[in-house]
Amino acid sequence: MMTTMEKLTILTDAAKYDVACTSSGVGRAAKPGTMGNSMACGICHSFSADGRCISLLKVLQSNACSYDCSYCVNRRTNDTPRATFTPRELADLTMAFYRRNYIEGLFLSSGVTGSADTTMELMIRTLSILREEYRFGGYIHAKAIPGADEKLVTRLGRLADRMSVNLELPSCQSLQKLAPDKSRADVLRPMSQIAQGIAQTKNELTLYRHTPQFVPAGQSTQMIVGASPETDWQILSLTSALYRKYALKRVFFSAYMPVVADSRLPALTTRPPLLREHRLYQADWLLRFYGFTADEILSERHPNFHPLIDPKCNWAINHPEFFPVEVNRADYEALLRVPGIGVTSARRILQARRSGSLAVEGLRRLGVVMKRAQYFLTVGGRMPARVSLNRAQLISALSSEKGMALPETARQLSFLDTTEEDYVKCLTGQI
Amino acid sequence: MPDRTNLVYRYDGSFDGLLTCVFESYARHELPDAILSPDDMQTMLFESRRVETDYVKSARVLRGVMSRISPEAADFIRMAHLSCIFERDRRILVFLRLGFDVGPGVMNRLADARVNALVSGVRYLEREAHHYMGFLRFTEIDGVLASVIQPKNRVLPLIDPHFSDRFNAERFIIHDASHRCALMHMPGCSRIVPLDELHITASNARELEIQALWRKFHQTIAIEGRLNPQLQRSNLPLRFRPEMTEFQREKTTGKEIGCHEKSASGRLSAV
Ligand code: SF4
Repeated sequence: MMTTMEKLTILTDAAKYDVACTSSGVGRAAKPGTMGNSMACGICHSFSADGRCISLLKVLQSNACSYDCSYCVNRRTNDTPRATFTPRELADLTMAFYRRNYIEGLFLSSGVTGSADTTMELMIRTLSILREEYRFGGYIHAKAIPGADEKLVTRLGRLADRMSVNLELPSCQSLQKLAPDKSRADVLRPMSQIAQGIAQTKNELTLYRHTPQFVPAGQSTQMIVGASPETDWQILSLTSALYRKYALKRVFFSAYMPVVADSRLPALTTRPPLLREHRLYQADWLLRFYGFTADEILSERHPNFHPLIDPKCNWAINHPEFFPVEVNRADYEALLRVPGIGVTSARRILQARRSGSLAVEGLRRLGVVMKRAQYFLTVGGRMPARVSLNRAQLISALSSEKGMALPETARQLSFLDTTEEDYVKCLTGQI
Repeated sequence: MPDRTNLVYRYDGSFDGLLTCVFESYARHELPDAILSPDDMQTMLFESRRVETDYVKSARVLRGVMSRISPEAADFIRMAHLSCIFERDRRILVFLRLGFDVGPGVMNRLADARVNALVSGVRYLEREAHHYMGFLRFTEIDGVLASVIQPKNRVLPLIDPHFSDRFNAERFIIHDASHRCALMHMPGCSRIVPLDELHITASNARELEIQALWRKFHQTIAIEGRLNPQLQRSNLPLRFRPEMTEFQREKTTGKEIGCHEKSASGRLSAV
């Protein structure tokens, strides 16, 4: 018999490549006499040595997978130790961690052990012990197994706060080539089923108060970047389509980390494309909070991100006709387009303007990064930079020293996981 | 008559005490150079005036803030008073004087240094409180959850609603070692009481096992190919780590929870 310690080690190691660890999207007070609540903004409980937020106990139910996805450590043909948590064991571990405030809840995923259906049944059993027997009110994120029966997806969705189905690869061709046991249809079917379930529950909730909940924190997905040949533009367009079509809450990107030698994959010595992943998160933020469209950020003619300039600055440099923006008059949307002004500082500008017009010193206090903003705005008709730069000068003024060093050190990758802390950082971090 | 400036107020550190200082400052036409609570370093450069907390005066000031500035401003200074910004109490006085001059609009003056100083202080307090909602660790000892934190700001009133809801059916104690007070919770009631020290040592085998499992998880979840201690450090500053289970070394022996209390505070600590 394997000990819990041994299983935890194996099943954490097998789960660590999944990016999402967020506990956000649902606010819920505890029922008196039970344990657990949930904060809409999410809470980071720790950070691992790679700098990523730890919010949830992220483990697999089992890594004894019968599929053979080439990019995955758990694939059937890999020689790696296997383990499976019993539902009781995992539920007890979750409660013990939660009670000591180590975690916000559980992120449960699994390799396909036996069939998709038997795997889902095992996961459902774990979650029912937590929710029904232990009356656990904390956060649960569960992964739907592609190809599982619809009824099981619904059952899991009633127990979880968030669900995800991983798209894995940004195109059908790549999925076929690298994950022969999964079809695009198998992935998209549960995704649209969950999207419909969420929409329907929202509808019913307005009609009857006691509709059972279904995935109240919404749905997310993840794709691997750098294992297949898609361009940044293709990935970003797909992302934007996913938000529109499936009403996803989040799309996560994971820089491909070579774990196996396979002729279909980049060589084992390939470094994970961390800068690319970083740029995708920045662009994703522009889509969700800054009112940008995918086509404004990249295009067929410019299908890849600039290595030195973040996507927002890049847009600003390429649209001189839009600037300068007058901070004392511009509306919220226009302020958001200015490099150095983020969602928070834009809101503060609007608030502070109510009590009089603003000066440069005041803008700094509101959190505007003048180092960047100075070239793109006027304050009471005057441009703080005093000189206007040409394109090349702007590029060198706006490319951060950190950006230069990034391909080697990957120092400032702060968008990997987004719970409140990163959220705040992204909003104030002037991406 | 111009306000006299070169003097220092000293008060007991309570919110009502501070409001009494505000009252005195108006009544005596004085703008003190500093307002010091027992937590502050005492300097003796200026003449100092001891201001005794007076609940009638403080209630009058609070009513004035609510009606002549706004109820939000009253909540705001209550929060600001929990923060640890430099020259906090004098800044609150300056803010209130500005507020009494300009009215409710003072809350929008985010670009004004006098307002901005307090806004940043409150933001820092809230951020630290949010950090502790995640970084605080409980150790279970005989059915009681116990924790020690060393915050810079007085975060207990801010984290109380969160933990008292989440763990409503538990008994727990959170000791703020920096400000020598503790949040005590039992089902149905929680309060903050003075407490000098709390020693927590786990000895129960099950407790030690759970701690070891958590350390193992924390260590295993990191991806070797992306190790980034600088990022880890900027997200989780070193100062939080001494109290966090995953950064502590394995313990094998230990004693029961011990508790030295200053006042009649320790019902929970009697366990
Ligand atoms: S189904 Fe594929 S990606 Fe999922 S665990 Fe199995 S091999 Fe890995």
